[in-house]
Amino acid sequence: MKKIILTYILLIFIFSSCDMGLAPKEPTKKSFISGIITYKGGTNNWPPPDSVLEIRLVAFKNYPLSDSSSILRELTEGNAYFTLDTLPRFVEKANYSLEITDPPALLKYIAVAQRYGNLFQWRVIGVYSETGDNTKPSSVMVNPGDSLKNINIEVDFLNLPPQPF
Amino acid sequence: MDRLVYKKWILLILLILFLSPTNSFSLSKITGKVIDKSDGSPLVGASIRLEGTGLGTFANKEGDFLLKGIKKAKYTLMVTMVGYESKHLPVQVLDNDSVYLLIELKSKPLSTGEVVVSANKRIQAVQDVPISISVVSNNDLLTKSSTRFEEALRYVPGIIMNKDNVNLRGSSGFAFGLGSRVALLVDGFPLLAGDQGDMKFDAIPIFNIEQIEIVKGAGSALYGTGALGGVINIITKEPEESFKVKGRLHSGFYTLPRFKQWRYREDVPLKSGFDVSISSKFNSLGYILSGGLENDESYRKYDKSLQYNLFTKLNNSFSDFTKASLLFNFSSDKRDDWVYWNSLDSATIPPTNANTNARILSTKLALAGDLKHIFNSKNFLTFKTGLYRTYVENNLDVNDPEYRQSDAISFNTDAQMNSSLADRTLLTYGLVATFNRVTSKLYGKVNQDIYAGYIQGELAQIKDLIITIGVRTDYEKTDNSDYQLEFSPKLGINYSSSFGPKFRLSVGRGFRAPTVAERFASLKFSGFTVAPNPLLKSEISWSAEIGSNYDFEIFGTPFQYDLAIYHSEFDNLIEPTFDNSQQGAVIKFLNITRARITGIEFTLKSLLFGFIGFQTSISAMKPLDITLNQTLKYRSTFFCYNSLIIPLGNIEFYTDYRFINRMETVDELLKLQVKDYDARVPMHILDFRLKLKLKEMLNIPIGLTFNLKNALDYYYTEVVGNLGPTRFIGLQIESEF
Repeated sequence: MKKIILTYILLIFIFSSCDMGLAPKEPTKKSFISGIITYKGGTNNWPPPDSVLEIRLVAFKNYPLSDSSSILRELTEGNAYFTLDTLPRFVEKANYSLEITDPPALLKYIAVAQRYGNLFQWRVIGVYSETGDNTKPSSVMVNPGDSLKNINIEVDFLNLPPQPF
Repeated sequence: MDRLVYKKWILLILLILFLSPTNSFSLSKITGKVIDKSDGSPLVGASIRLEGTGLGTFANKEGDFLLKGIKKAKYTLMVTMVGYESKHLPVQVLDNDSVYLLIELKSKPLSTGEVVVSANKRIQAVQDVPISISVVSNNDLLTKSSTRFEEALRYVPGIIMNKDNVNLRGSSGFAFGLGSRVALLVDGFPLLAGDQGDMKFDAIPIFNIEQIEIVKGAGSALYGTGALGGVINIITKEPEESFKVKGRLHSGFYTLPRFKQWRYREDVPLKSGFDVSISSKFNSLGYILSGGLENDESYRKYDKSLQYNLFTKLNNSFSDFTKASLLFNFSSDKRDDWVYWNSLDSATIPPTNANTNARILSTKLALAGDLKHIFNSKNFLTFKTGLYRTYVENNLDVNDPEYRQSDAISFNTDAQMNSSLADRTLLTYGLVATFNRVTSKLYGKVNQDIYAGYIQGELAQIKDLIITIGVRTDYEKTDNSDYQLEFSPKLGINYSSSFGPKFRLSVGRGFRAPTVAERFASLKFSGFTVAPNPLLKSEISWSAEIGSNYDFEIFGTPFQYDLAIYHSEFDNLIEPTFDNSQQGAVIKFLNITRARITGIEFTLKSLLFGFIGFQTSISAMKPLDITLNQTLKYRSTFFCYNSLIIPLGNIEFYTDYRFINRMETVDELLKLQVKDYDARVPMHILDFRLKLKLKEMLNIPIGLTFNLKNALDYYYTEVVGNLGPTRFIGLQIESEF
């Protein structure tokens, strides 16, 4: 009888000890990109507040995109990384840091996005480009443990980059 | 708040209680003795009831009982006792007759002798009901050391707890705690909040529960709105015959998480509390006075809570035929406003932009009166009336966009008659009125009125067959919204086969009227904006099930199984949905979902080697969102609960293990707000308990229980962005004298 009880308890332990559930990632294996977003013209060139509901940094694995609504689709389908909260608005400069949760990842298009309406209404207002030419976005490869700094982006509300679709 | 209505209601309850007419007619009587068939010993506490009459009693210390005031007729006497086979005896009573019965009950170790009131709004043996019903007894609550209501439900077959939601057979997902799809009652009195239509778990007097009855499947034919997926009825204890004091002290701590990233403090967070009650009877007046407190520092930062409750129950027997009771319950809860985690890497702290100064204070007051009057042995009345007030407010400035306040009173009255029409034909019928009065910063000033009438017949003329047919009509009107009329029929069949197994079949309709909150919510919290939608319609469901249960033996070892196969169709399900037509991250409650859930539930109990208690229950279901042709959000499709009890002299060892598979889908748009929203895993939760019977060991009237909850310190989420409770080690001391 004791054997049966012990076997039962052992079975429960074995069954339930296959894994221990959720776990945080090892800090050393985390990957980030970070940089500064500069708004050309300082605070003067920002559009009216009712059209700047959110500013987020978004890094896409796919580029170009099919249409404007695909920005949100890429986000929800896990093909893009984004800052979880809005970045500071109506400022001259803003720092950002974005975790790339499943490296290695090739980021083909890193942009600053502005939400001007409902959840599907976004526009790109700045693009990361090594040359400074916002019509030619640059790719970035992020490997496990990488912390890539100086992924800086300039935003010019008077001269927006071409939309990625 | 409408103070005039409030005062009138209290006055009405008091009038009913103290001006009830007494009735002292005396007709025939049944006396007898209940004994153990094997050794002839008296069975103290055996329940003896005349079916369909409201007349019932318990056997005394000698096993004797007396039922009086019985009119000439044929009756069925139902005798039940824990650990014994239930008996139904035909009895013929003549004018001025005195019938004596010697009733022998056969020992049946797995029998819990359960009688339930929730399936058909009358007392009957659990095996006679045509629908799946689970019972959590007072003994279950004691052995599981449950100090919270949600803990008591975690091992009920068919139930998954999703934070504040009771998900019964897949009926509920996650809806920010609003609009329960399972009706909640205390002694038959509804206890869903008048504004949010939700269950407030701390409003339930857990220390004073006799048993919890869980009726599965649509139950609106008797219970109206809310009973879309089922009904939970909490039966509170009756006052003791002689003066008794009971107390419970519990204290423990959450162990620090294995991962340093999740340790938000150096010392272990504590959870402790106490409950105490006194109970007695003065002549015909019985009382219970009880109170309790619990302080939980929580395993998460900014998630503390302090709860206390007061409970009073008064019973008065005006005569053998007229009884009244008054129930008062007040509870208060002050807690931090935790919504979701910062991220999986920092799962025990809230988002960095959360306002950690916000606290929520909520109070709940339930006051309910109940009058039972037996007109004669064929007709009896049950009249219930009362109010349930919920008040919630956070401590932010009234001009703060996240300021929340709501005051809701729900008035309920149910006048029910039970009549025996002819030989073995019982009729249950009644009228119900519910008035919800809400004054809220969130929802405005809103009135919701519901009127209903119901009738149900139980036909048992054919041997071993009980047929139940019923219908209820509800009229619901909320201020400027269109009125809604709901028609909820039901059919049930129960058959006791000659070869042993009992079979049941039921079909029924359920509905849930939109709550005031779902229609009129206008608030902001933690990045979300909730917008009103006054055009919401009622959710409806149809559910059908076939089931069977049987007690049998294999090589002298007793087994008991219960099997149910069920199918439910849902329409117009109200879901919180991101509204794409509006600016901002706006959530609106919309009637968008058609769903279909098919499932199977199997429970097996045994007493191995004559002393090891064992129970396993397995539930599998296919919850399909027909609108999207995918698995319904926030549903698990397979879960399995197991319990083992090993008594070793004066020590009892308990182990419970539950497995729930990973929810397949959640709302993908939560990704925009909740980091690591997709971090979810199957649940493997193992609990241990060790009970020491010090009374038997040292002659000290104390019970001592060591608890180890989530013994493996397994990390999981019950809802998105919420780490489930980590390992908890506790000690509980109980005493009564």
